[in-house]
Amino acid sequence: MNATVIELQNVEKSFGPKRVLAGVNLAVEGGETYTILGGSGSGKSVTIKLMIGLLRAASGHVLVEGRDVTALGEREWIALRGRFGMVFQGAALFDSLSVLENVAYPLREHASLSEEDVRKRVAEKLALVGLEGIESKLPAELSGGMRKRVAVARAVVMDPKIILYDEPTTGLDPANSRRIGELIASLQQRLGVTSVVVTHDLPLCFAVSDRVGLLHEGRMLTTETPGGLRASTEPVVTEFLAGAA
Amino acid sequence: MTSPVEALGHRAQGVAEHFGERSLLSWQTLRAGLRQRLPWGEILRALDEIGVRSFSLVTLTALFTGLVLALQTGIGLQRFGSSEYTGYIVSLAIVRELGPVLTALIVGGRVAGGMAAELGSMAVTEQVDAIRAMGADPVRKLVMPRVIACVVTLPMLAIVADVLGLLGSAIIAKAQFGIQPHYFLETIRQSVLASDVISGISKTFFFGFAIAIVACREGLSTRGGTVGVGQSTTRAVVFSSIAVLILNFFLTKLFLVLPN
Repeated sequence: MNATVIELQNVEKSFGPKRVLAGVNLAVEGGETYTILGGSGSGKSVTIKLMIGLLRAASGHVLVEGRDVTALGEREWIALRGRFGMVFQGAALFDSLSVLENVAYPLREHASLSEEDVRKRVAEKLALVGLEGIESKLPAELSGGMRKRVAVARAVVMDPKIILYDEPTTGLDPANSRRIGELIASLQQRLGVTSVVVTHDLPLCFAVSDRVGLLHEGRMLTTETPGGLRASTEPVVTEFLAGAA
Repeated sequence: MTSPVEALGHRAQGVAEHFGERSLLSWQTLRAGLRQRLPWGEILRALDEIGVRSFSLVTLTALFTGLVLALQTGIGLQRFGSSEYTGYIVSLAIVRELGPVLTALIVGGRVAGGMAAELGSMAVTEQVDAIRAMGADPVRKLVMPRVIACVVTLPMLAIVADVLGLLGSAIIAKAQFGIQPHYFLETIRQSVLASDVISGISKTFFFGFAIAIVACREGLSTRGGTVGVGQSTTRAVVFSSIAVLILNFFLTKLFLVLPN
């Protein structure tokens, strides 16, 4: 494995009186796909949003490529987020913009490319997710699975080093869920990025992960390889696998 | 069970947070406007949505306000046999107060609700987080265009409201009280000073800024799905109207103190 790319050290996070994370520790190595598994409301999405600075830790430390980013201001985060791509739970495509404009959004924001180059890059990334020729469509005209794949194309359009997936298969049928899993695995192989996947979807977890961390009651209960997790005799793990299977 | 003192403390804290959040957003918007590249595409879209699409509403409101104001004033003055002075009173009322304030309230009601609903929907569907995750600044992309559009269009709409309000008054003055248009115009020329027009229009810059900031803040802080969007929309309309009314008092006092 390579050097640690993302590290959370004893991170705590609360919303009002509700304590969501109670001292999470995890380390994501360069080039791996690390999956955060856990039940609904276990703080998985909060954890991934802490990694990209969309939320701030109440205590503890968040490190990105060895740099402590816990106390970074929004302006410093804006510069740092160029290293990330993120796929949101509901795809979070901009309703009023076409697929082309959605995928081109980061390019128009950060890269000084000609219109022709923007279109070429968008077409290339849409082809990467298996969606050629849909540039002019609006998000409302797409199926749930297509929206997720467009969101993946948008996340990789700037060739980020780290891709975060927040519940990428939520709301999708099994066939589309499998397709998204294959897409995550194939991007991992082709782009060599570091990926963090948040999910409660076990087939996806076992299909794409190098390592899996199980988040339970605000703490990272265990981190294992998929095989190690399956073989675990820890009662919470076996109960989760049995319940979610 | 909280004591009355505790409840009062929580209330005071809530009010302080309310003003603090809006002040912070105002500062972030001004800073983004000064330091960052202006998003012209979004600004043009906001100008169309806020300015152009409010035009007919402002036209109708101003015209009928002018009509009814002249009617009421003329009837009141008729009791003293002085309806020919209608133009003096009506023109000052329209230019100094009714044109700017009614425009702000009408446009504010329309656009504050729209802005809060749009930004609220974006917030609950994580589109605002997506903008941040892509290394863009939501204040620059979402708030600044709306603030600029409100600050630019509200004074223009207020000028239109002034003109149409006076036109409506002139129509009623002639039709109801037999006051000739050229005489009505002369009374306006005698009573309305340049400073009256400037103070009235100047207020709308502040109204526009306040409406946009209040609406954007409500929209961006939306939580709780579609119910939250509805609540934010209502709060945006109510708070922006209150902001206009309170600001109007203090700005009027300020402009009266300032030398002509």
